[in-house]
Amino acid sequence: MKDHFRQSMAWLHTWLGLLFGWVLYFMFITGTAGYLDTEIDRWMRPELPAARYPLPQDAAIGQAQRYLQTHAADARRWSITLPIDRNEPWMRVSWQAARGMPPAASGNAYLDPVSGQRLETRDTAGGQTLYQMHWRLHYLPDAVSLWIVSIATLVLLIALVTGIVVHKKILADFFTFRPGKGQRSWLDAHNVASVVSLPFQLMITYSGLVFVMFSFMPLIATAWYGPGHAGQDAFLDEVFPPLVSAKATGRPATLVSLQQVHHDAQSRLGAKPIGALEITNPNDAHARVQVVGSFAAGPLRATDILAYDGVSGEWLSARRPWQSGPKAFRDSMLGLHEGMFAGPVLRALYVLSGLLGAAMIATGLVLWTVKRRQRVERGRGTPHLGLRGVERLNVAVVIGLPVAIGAYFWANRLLPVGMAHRAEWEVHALFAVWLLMFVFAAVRTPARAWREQTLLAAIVFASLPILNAMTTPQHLAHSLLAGDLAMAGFDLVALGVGAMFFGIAWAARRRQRQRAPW
Amino acid sequence: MAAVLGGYALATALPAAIVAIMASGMGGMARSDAVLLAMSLSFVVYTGAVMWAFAARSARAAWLGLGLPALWAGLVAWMLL
Amino acid sequence: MVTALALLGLCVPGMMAIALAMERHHDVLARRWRGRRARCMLRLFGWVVLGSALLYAVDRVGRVQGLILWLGMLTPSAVGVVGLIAGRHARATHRATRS
Repeated sequence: MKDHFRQSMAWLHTWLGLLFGWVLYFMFITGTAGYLDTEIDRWMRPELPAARYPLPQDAAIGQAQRYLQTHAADARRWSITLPIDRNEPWMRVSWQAARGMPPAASGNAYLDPVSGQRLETRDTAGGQTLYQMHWRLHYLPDAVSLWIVSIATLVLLIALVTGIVVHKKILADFFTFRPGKGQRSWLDAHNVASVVSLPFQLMITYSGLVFVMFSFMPLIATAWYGPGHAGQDAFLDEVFPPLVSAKATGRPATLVSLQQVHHDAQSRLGAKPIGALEITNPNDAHARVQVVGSFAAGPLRATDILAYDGVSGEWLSARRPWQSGPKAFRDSMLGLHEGMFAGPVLRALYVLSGLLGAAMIATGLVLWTVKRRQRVERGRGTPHLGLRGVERLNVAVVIGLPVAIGAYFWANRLLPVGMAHRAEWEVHALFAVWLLMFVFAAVRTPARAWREQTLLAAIVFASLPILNAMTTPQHLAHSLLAGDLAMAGFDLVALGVGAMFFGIAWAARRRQRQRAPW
Repeated sequence: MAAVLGGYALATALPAAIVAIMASGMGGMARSDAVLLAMSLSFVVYTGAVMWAFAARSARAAWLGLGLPALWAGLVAWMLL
Repeated sequence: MVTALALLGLCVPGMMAIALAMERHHDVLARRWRGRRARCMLRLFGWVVLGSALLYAVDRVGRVQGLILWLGMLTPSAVGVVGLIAGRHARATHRATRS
């Protein structure tokens, strides 16, 4: 009885892993990059000065208001983000044009908090786009990618649980890794990568599902709130009660001094940091200002939001971070998943765990091919199209994706600054190179493809600091001396990644020379 | 495999199942909270259900094992809400 | 930063001790240190050290963050121990085949 159960779970685990492994690998790599999104942003916008935070907010807010008033007086919405931690290292303002206006009328800008001047940077997709691919994929309509990502996450949860169930000696195997034994070694690697980071993997998968649960399980809301959009909207309104509803009246009025609102908010919040100001209907009689605390104060991804009348500056209402148990559970899940609250050490652990997750998937995929390839070599099967295809897909995804991301960074430095649609072309470069990797893998034998693509990855990443030095004044020595940790860190990590790929390429070559089981 | 179809039936079964349990449990809970809690639990149930469907000895057993609780849950939910 | 290093300094030996107490890896130890008593003591030592690491983390950064930090630290510690033990096994095999 138990055997049949184990067998069917093993079958389920294998096939789910094979079908969704590549998508999940993509999600793990982009998600891990997401933990370093603002650092990547910083490297991709070398024109920005080194970030300094937190900054005295008073003067900054005054400058921001002046800038927005000059450049976006008719906008429907303004937003001012203040630098308080690594999640928003620079002051940023953005404005949303009134309905019916062309999209170009909306925009955002980095501002110097002292002078109020706009900081000009190259048009780049930045680390944010790389990070957003984690759930939006790319080139696909949002609804489609949401479904793919949601299903993939659920599959991952099932794969994790079935993996645990199937792993007979999970405790005894905990520290076991036997290199050089072919299939056995790959299984050991797969087990170690998964079990060692298991709490993280379970947390990240479950919290990922919580992220999408409104769309994935809408019928639950329907049961309580009634069918259709009205029911869904009613539900969302109750979970996120709107603070102040105010339609624009069309009657112009002077916007209150935001510094005054800021002072009032500070007196109410005490020592808690203020992260942003959102202004709705600026310069209108029904203007509203919302002062938002920091979402990154702790694992609970919720904060105080204070609402003010935008003309009189009078305090209207507040939403506190803690509203109810179930909502706090959701907010904690989101907070843990995003890890915005993580300081440098914890962030490094997040990145390590993310990479282990990617390794878990990669080793699983390779294990599948090694197992079947060994069966073929022992004469117990033929190398059918499926095996050959998967072997090639594996290298194209596992190594090809990092190569493509490296190409993305190269494009950021090489594409001319004034080019039209520059940001989109950076992303096109990523996918074009990735496509090349697929073609590459299709025409070479898997063994050669692994060596060659790994070597390529090593070169692409290791030479990023050199490329940086050649195309901008912010080379490694300069950023280290200036204390620009994000810039220097990126260069150093690129070197480290390059070194790691060199190591893998060298190990692959040595293994193949010895003709040891691969 | 027939088990795949059994897994698909779950997509409709689960919300109902969870909702029923939640509804019967809590008398004085705000609606939005109940929904949040139910949604949060639904994934655990979904995972278990898929594993069950694949562990079942036959397609019929899978369908029955999932369909019957789903129906029961749906009824309970409908009655309580 | 200090907290992190201290935690690592506790978790790695703790995990190592637990690993060495396991049947499969006990042979990594030199012959005169092996034995049932040694295994019991190693296991006890390992768990006590890991537990104190958790208490230390909680004391330094609070309950929630401490638990998260401790769980996070277990991962690189385990990875390190796996590497060390695999290295020892490999060297032992190498020596055995050479002699």
